[in-house]
Amino acid sequence: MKLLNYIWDYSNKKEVLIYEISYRQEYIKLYTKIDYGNDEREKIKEEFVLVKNRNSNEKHFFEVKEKKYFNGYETFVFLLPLRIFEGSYNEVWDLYLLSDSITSKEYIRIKDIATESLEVPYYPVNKNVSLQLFNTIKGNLSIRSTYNNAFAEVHELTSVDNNQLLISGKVFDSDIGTERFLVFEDQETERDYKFKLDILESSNYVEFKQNIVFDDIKSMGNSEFKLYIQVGTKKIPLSINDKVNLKDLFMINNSSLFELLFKKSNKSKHLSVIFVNQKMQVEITNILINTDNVCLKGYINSRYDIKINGLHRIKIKKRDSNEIIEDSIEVYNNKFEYKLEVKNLIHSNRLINGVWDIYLISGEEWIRFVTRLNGIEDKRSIVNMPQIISPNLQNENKVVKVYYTLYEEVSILVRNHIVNKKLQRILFNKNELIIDGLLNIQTPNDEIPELIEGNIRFKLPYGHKMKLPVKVKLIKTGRTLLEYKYIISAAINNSQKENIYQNINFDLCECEIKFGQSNSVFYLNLLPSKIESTLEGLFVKNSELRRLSNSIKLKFYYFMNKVVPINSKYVIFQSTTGMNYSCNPRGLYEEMLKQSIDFKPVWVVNKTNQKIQGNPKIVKPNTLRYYYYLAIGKYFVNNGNFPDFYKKRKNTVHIQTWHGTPLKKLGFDIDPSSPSYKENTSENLIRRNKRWDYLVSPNKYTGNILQRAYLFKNQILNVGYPRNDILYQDKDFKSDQVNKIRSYLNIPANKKIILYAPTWRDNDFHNGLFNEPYEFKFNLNDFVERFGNEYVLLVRLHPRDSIRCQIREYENIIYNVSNYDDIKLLYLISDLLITDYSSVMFDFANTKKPIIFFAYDIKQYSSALRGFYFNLHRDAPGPIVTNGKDLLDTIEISRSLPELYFDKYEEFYNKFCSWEDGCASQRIINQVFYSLKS
Amino acid sequence: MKIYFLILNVYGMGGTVRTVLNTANYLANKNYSIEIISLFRRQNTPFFHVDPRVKITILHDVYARDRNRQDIRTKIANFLLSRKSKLIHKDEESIKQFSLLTDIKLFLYLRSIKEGVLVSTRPCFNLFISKFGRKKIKLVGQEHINFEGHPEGLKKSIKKYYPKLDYLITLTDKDNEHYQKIFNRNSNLQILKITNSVSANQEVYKSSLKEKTVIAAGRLDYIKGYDLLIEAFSYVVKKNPDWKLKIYGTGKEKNELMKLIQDRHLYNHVFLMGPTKNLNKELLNSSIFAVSSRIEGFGLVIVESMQSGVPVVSFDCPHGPSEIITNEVDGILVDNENVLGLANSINLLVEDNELRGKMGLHAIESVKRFSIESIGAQWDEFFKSIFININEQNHKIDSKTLSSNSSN
Repeated sequence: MKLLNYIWDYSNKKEVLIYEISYRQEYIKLYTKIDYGNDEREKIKEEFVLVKNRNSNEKHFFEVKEKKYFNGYETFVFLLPLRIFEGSYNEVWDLYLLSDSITSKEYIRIKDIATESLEVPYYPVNKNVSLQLFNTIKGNLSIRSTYNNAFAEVHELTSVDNNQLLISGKVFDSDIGTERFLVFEDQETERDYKFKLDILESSNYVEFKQNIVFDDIKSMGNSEFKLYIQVGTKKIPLSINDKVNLKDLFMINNSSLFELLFKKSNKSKHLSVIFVNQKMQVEITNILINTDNVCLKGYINSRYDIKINGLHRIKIKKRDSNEIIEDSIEVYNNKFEYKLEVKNLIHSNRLINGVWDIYLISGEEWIRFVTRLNGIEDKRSIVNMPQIISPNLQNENKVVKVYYTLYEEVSILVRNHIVNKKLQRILFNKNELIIDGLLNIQTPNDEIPELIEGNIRFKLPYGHKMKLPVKVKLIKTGRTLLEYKYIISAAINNSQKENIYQNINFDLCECEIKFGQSNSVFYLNLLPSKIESTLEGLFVKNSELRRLSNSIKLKFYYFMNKVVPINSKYVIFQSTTGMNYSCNPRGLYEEMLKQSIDFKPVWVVNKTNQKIQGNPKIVKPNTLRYYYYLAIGKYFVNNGNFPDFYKKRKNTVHIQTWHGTPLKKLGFDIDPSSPSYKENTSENLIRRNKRWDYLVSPNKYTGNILQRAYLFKNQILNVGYPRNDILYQDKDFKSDQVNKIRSYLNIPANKKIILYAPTWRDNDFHNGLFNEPYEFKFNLNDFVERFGNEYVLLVRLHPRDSIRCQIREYENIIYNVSNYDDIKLLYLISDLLITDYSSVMFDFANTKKPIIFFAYDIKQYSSALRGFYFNLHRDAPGPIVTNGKDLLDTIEISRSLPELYFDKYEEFYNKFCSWEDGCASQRIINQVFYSLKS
Repeated sequence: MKIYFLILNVYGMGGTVRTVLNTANYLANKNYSIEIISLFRRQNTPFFHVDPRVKITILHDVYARDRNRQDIRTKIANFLLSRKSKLIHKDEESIKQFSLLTDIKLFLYLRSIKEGVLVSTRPCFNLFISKFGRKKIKLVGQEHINFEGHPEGLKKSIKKYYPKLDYLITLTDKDNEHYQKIFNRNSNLQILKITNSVSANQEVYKSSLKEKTVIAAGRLDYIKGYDLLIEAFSYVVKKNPDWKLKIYGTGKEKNELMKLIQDRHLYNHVFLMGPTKNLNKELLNSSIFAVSSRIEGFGLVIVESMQSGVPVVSFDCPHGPSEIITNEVDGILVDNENVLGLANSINLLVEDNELRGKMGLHAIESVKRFSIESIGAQWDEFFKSIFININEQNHKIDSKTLSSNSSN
């Protein structure tokens, strides 16, 4: 029995909970209940509420007074004074009940059932601090103090006199006394519509109640507007209380009737709106999905009861681009039945991948197909229509889905039938190549045969290709509606094996499998790190064994680190956490080879097949050899950090080369109220950065920033970047290199090269698009038409996005170089760079070739841009364009860019590249490795 | 004297939770000392309102638990969680949720209760308390489903162990009769009927019955028969294409039902709306409530719908609907699992506004007998009688000891 009690001590314990909370200006009223459980109610000497700071352990005790007694429980009201939180920023406080009785002194954590029904999420303490009361995972009450957390909420939204919008609410923000505006931010263009707000009260929070009069709603357009409260330069997202009714907001403006359709986003409750002209609405009453077409029945709702008859134009427009499919319908007495011939449109390659919206054209106006009058809200999440699978001109299966948008509009999504979800293993057996992982196969997917035939195509260097027939096994996992496990097996001979092994992710691998009369194509990014030996396979299956072996290896490391003497010739190199052989460590290494430095190089890389000149030792992370060399190495060259387990020995020398001139705020420069502050200033990070003995800086700007943001106190090397040395070699050397690289990538000699290197965007990843084909924000067809004869386009996406570069149709004009090891070689061969908010601009400027900034989402990025060291708008050494058409037009005149931007570019170059002269590595060797020079 | 309710997960949204909380909240308001023992906590906060005077004890907090902690206690608990339960009847519907760990926790907690009244709310709990509850506490079992609905093994155990309980409460008269027959030889077990209740806390408004909407609400699983309802509605749509069906709730059949809607091309008419916290609000916007369950324990939603004046069309499944609805007066009963019959009855109400209105009015009157005031009062009576009973027993014991003492 005693043993059982150890496992789970459940005696009916005393319990304290808060069941109601109300806020007053100077304190928070907490209604508390104490439940005695099975214990006899002991004589209690004193009872206190303890408010304790979880971080600093600061404690405040408050005596409990005036209890009320009931059958089995007691209640009291506790007034929590706000003054104790006045200096508290980003801290968490927990509440306890301290009971001092004759026999014992016990602390009981106070539970909570009240926070769910709180009116507002924040209670202001003063102009700098607000409190957030929340329910922990264990159901306890805690308080988080937030610094200057600006928050704005609407409590009322109504139409007044049919021509004004009454909006009222609260703004919690520290800036008192400044002007406040209600802002409607157009999500498509860059316009903001501002309305000045009259403030009602000035205290810790501010109330507003305003009648908004719009000048001309029609001119504001059809796009979505997000609402903000602007305070000074800060835009606070305006959210809305769940209880407010958002329906039936109509307004007459300049003799036209509009409905204001407000929506709030699920998580953040951020308010947005579209203005719908009621003059004419196209209401779809019935959608029928057939195997070849979609039938849309509806009627035209005209405000003036005009009878509408005759032929009308339909336009189906691809979102974010200019592509339009034209069609027409016959309208009888305002009613129509439109048959969208999906099979034909897909087959003729007119309906391509992307999102398409349907409009009826009336005079000059485009009126969207909607279903707003059927009494069902939120059709976006409730209505699920069957999908149509149909082959395109190349006989590849595409999937068409008709759905409702957030604003109940009808849209069409066209996408691929199959995408890779997860690549699990690559196995080279005796005469067989096996690849397995998980796929997402679109519905309807119930009748998929277990074994299918197909092909896989590898793209190899020098323009070679390899096509192999395969058998694919497909098993539905049942975890989601779409998920299938796949096992691809191909028969290969030895020479094929060697070829594939060496070049396995030169580019994406295309898999084509036969479904009836047509094929479905999906892409795989075959990472070398997924290649398994069969022995490893056994290991991998048993995670217990793996964990055991890892902990043994670590113990081995710690032992070696203490006992075995350092070997002063060993230099350990790593770049980008072992992902490739590239960047500054590579630049420095190759120079050391050239100068015949007497050293024993060790490269840490994930790829087992990595080719590195000079015959260094190549080790994979987390292997015994890896731990061995980390323990005995003297010099360590990295552009990032070695993992946390690593313990720096005395007399070892760490050279931090860093990996680029910084754009985004780093380390302690980050705003403390930002969510990324904690991880960028964490203790672990500081400990890793303390290892640096030398820090390489390419320019004054970078040196200053890194020293300040990372509190770096050791030796800084103001020498330029080893990786840029190559850009300053002599002409002959460079042109020889260029020829070699062009040949490797199979780029025709007569074509000029444009490099497109957009920055990584979090949104795409988090919206589950990480396996969907990358959507280029300029029209690829147009690009090929206008520039296909003169240029090739090299696309360099972030390695994590590499699999999304699915550009099969544009072979030999558009290339995927996302897997290419070192971007500096791409700089060498390119004639023009297109980028956005990426620090590639700083390195490319060394070539003095033109740069175009394609910032298609500059609006959404504006808040991030504020967190940059560099002012893109002001100092960009090239034109900033925000849409595809402008981009193509700018490429057209790219020859005149050097002249047009001469001054800006020169200023940019002087600030960021003036130290570069091809001798950066040389200088590092002189300063750091002088003892190894022969 | 404390009253304990033993329930599977008081944080969930099922009918049992609803009605237990209605009762507990009502009794707490009458100054009873109430404790709800919830075997699990699976959600952060309770779906339904819990009066702060009611104490909740959680035995196994799934929500807050971190199974990846490396300490010994967690490792032992994980081990025990992976072993099958030995003390819970193997025919229990949710047997997969139980384990050796839950056995130990239930057992220990149960044994720690030394006096009071314990009400348990499902057959496996009824059996559990009958075997392991202490003699001094009054054991009350509740049956939410008719006897024939149980698997054979469970039926045998019920016959054997229920007599160890002090009271058995059923929801319907039919069940009551049935159980009386089974246990009539055993006079120690008292069997009585107390139906489920609907809360009157929120104001209940009457539907105008003008919306062309049929609604249904419940867990999306096989027992609720929404596949049959969707089939039936495809016939309704043929005759009355401007009517819609909204199904509220969530459950494991969701994908199957979605597929059925797609296959029958009913996506313009049938909608899976997800769960709702405010069924009353949805009832106000509907004109007919449909029940297609293959089996029902009671049918609390039927009562709620009738409360709002929305007439109910239901399969006459065992047991429940027929004790709530008076056929053709305040609702319509259809032969169990008769899809065409269901469609025809729905069409009848769709096409006859007047009949709909009349039935709605009758329905409101008819379900007043299920309000928490009236049901709660029954519980109040019930517990008062138990207390009197206990006092008498104590009195007897006291006088026995008195007399035995005096005789010494």
